[in-house]
Amino acid sequence: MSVKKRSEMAVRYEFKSYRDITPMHVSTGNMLYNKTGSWRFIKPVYEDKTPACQNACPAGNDIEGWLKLLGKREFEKAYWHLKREEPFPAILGRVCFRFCETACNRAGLDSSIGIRELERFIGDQAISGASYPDVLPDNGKRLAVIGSGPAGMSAAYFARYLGFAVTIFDKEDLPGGILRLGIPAYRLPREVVAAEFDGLVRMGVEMKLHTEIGRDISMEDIVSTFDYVFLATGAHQSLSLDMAESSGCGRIMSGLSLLQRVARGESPELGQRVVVIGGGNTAVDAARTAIRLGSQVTVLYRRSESEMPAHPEDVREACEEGVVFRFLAAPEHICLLPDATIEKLVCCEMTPGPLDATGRCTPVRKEGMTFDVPADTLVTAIGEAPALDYLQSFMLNTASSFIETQADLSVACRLPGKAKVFAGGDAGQTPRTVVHAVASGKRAAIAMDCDRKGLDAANVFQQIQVGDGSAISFSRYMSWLPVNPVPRNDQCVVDRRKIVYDYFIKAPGLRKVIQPGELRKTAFTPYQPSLTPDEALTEAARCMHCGRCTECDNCLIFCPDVSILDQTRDSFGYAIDYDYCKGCGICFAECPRNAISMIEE
Amino acid sequence: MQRKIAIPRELLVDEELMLPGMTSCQGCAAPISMKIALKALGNRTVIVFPACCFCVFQGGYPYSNLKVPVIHCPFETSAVVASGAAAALDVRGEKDTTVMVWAGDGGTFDIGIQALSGAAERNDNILFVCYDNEAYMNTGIQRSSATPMGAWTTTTPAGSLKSEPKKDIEQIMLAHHIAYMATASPAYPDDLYRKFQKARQITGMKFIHLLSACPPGWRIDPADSVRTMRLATQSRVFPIYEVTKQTGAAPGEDTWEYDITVIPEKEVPVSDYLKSQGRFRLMTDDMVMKIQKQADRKWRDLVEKRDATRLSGV
Repeated sequence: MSVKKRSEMAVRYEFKSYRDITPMHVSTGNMLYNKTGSWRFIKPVYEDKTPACQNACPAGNDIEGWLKLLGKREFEKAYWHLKREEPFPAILGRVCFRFCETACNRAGLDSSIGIRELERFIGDQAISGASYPDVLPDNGKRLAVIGSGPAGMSAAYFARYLGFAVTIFDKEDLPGGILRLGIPAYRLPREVVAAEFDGLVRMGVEMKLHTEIGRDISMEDIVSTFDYVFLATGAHQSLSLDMAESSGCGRIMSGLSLLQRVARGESPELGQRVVVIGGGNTAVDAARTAIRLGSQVTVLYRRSESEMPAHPEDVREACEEGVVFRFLAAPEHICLLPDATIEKLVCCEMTPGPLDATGRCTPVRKEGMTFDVPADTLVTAIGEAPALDYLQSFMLNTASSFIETQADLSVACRLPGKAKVFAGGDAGQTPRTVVHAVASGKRAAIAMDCDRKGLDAANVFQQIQVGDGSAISFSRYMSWLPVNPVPRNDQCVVDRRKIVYDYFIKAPGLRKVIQPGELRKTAFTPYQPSLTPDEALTEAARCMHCGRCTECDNCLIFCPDVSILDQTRDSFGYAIDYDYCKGCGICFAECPRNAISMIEE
Repeated sequence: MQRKIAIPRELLVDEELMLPGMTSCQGCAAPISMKIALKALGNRTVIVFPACCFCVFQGGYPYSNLKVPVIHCPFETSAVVASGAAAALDVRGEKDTTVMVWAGDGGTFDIGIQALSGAAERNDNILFVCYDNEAYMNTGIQRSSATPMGAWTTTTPAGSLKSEPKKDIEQIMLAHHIAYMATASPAYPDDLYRKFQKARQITGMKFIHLLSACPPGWRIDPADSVRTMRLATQSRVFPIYEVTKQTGAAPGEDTWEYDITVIPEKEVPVSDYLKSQGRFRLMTDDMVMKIQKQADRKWRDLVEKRDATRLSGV
């Protein structure tokens, strides 16, 4: 019923004289004249908010939006919606650390939605077809991207979309950076990376491979030919273990170089027993790579399991494959045989000590508690730093081990040319994950576009901020319409306290059967099967659509004042008849997903 | 995935038999129940109102906000007025019209009980609905025999909280061998809708006991009204069930089929329900324990009776 029709129905009866009073009391009017809206001091409004998953995603991926489209079987629409914020679903659908799933409100009921698997499903659906968008007309500015890893790819994608002429420089023969040389093929098949680069080239991104800055082309040349430069050279320089360096033994290598050599097609001779030192993702990847090369692998980490920076799922899978972890253990020195090969490692047990600046314990040696670990090869993976030699003469702060950037990712440096320099990914200050790198590329691309238009980037970032986190939204920068055509309050995050769990049915989450560890440790082929469309639809149906109206009718059913008006047939959602709404807040309290807000009049 | 409230969509969206503009308090649960009940009963319904909140706020003379015939009657006569209306409709041959009494707990448990008992004993073809807000809320929160133990009202103030348990109206009605007895709560609207539909199709005396939150009387936030009623069911203080008469082959062989129609997935202790309301704020732990035991016993009895029904193969 429309508001207008309703007000036309109102009948107010007034007795002019006693003759008007009927002999038998009979009602002659209704109460519609009584506009109870005047009682109200807070009013409900429909307002879509940011779900916890999107808030947790460093790239601000609108997960709820594409899950809704996926649930309607609109695979292609879902793909394009996903790419608005995060352009490489086939890659991140395999390697992302799933900040979204940790935050997922569904975990308060049964278990999180398998968002990463669904993202991979959508990415794989589109990988064979035309998977790149029409870009905006050229804006006349040229961008040089140094490094073709995830940060560089992402900056190139978004900047090209915004009309920049983009050239990517990479010193390797094949693009992809860490995606190709760091992440093992069993986690990320090379075809997937290649397909995404095909798309970038089809968008009009120019690739200059086998071109190293300082060797093949000078930084001066770049800054004089380009308007913008994005430094995304990653962190490829392994930190060295003093003890290992001084030993003078050949059978010692860094985790990253092991991964790189295997990625280039070599199969390095590791011997029977490999000891990996470190607790990060490189250490775990190196251990799993060594076990695939046929060695027995022990990982030594000086802190406890819960303090490992590596992703717990990877650690669990490594254990299944036969990797042995020794926690609270650190190497003391290396014993060599006369032929300069390694005999064993003398290690010491550690105990958690005082907290350091990052909130983790500093391990302390337990005096006298030493033990031997036999080894043929020692792999050190105790961290990586960016190699910044090519910038030495330009950087303002040469003492720093990474590129120091401003909030808009611009870099203060003394460069002769006109170019403005930005930096992101592992070389910059962002946390070192693929999704953070992709997010930094997006941020830099928007910052460059703001600079081109003469806008204040900080101000723009504030307007397009996602939730209360650090992510920003590309679709809001472009003013694209969201899936639900209702007003948005993107700064407001829907967490578990705002969900009415009573309205949701428990449904078990996706349990993908992966190959057993014994089998998968024999090859570098990927072992996680992709979802079938049916599995994807079942999993997508579990989404609670936190903060986003799904036209579930709860407000319509519960309104005691019949003041919610249905408009699902003509447009979307519901309208509120403020003539009569008393502001009781039942619609707000009974909305399963907090898509209604109460605001002061 | 969401538990969809299964009420036909066209009913929700199209014809509305209750209009806005009523003077019910913010968050009153009675209009929610009425709205859904009328969707199930349709426009061929006559409503009889004794004195209660609803008869006041739905419009004083010469107004009525329900688009069905309404009879206002003295407090103690609702059931007998309805019996008369049902008899008149019967004489006129109008078989498809439902006569419904919509009475508060005062008009049912206390003042209305003798007429109700009479109509139930005669098995008159009426539907008697008690929307139970557990006190005389209309006149300013005085205790009724439906007020639960430990509740604050203006006549059971702090220091002398109600010490008697709530009257078991459901057992009283069942003792009259009526055709259909059910409890329902607007926190579970689809269950409420289904019960009114079922009651419409049954000839004879039907009784539906509705829980109805009253934010001023229960001392709760208006927005929490539905949530509190949901807690009442989850904590089993107000179990939702129905008892249907199965007519036997010979007189005296009737049986009654029990069914628990809402089995809450989440079980909560009664203290969660009680603590969420200001009227129970002064309750001692002893009383909470007593209520927990009562609720547990009632639930056990119900489950036993339901299982007995199932075993007997009714």
